[in-house]
Amino acid sequence: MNDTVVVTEFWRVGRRADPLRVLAEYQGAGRFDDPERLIAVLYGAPTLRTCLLEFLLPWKAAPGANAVLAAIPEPTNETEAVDAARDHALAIEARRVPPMLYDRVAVQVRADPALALLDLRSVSVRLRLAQAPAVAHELCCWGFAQLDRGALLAPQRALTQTVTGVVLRGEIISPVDGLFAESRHDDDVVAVFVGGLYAPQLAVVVSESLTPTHSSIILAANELGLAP
Amino acid sequence: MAPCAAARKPLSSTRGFREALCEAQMIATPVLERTETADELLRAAHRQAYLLSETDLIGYLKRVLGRPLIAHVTETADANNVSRWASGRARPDRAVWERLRTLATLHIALTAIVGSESSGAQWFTGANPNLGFKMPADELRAGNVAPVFAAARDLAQR
Repeated sequence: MNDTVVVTEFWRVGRRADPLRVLAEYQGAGRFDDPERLIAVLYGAPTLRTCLLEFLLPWKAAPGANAVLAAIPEPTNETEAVDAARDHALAIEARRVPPMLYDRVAVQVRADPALALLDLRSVSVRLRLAQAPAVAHELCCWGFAQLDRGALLAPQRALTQTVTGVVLRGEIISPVDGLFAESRHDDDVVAVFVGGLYAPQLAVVVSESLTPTHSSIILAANELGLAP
Repeated sequence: MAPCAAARKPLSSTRGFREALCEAQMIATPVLERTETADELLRAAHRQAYLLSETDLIGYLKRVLGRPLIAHVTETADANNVSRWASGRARPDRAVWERLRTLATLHIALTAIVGSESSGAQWFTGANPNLGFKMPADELRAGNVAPVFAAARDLAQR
């Protein structure tokens, strides 16, 4: 069974000035960031749709959102009536794509030579990673019996970042260019290591401005119940 | 919703900011100076949140988040109490003040990150993948402040 996925092209949503620039010292909160902040991690996905969905997911209404916002009590005086009117306006306001997305660009990136990314979807890879003491410790801390798909999709950054640390510095896995994992929505994501011994040769082959009329944004926004 | 014109004025001093607020006759979202890192941005937002007087703090949160969301996060049964805090007819306890300051810190930072007050507010009721698809508002209500700040930090470094 293959431990790696060979990737030659992927999509990324990045900053307009330099969409491929990532700095390890400014990272630390991302899913597969280096816990020691020495190696930067460039995130992307095989499809632009996945990049956009990953970007926009925090604005998708949670199941209990409407119940919270609509809990407007009957006013007992004029001041409360004014406040209640504002509450109603906020409760019915359309959820929109945040303007920050339109400051970004979508780029298709080509890697030459191709990237060999560790396939975290592979059971055998996860079994080997789980043998690393640091990973085993995190699994125990967070109450996971094993490093399964659920553990990697869970919100605990300490666990996923420890996996990155083991891949970067451990002796369990032979050197790879990054990680290939399941996205939190669906589809997959790529995390490419940049810096130190990691110098992937990446070039932008397609660059697209992101606007409210961009077809991919309209589709992603519709999927998440947002207005572009 | 874009911040009002007064909110875009540079904040050379707290006094300048307060004068700008008076001009606008509303409690605008403080605009943060440009920062390099997410941590600096959150620290700047924290400073601005603590510069707001108690009345301004509640007035601001009421306008941008609405009373139901404030009541939810502060575990206040009747959202009309938020109006009573704003008018001075009632006073929340210290733990509630801390949650209000936390809400303001996050909203000020989010507005600077995402570029819109309403998107900053809607983030609190989103299904956040960094929080196991829970709402940041629920996590704040449960007192889990650190993961919510981590989720905001993740947003800032994108």
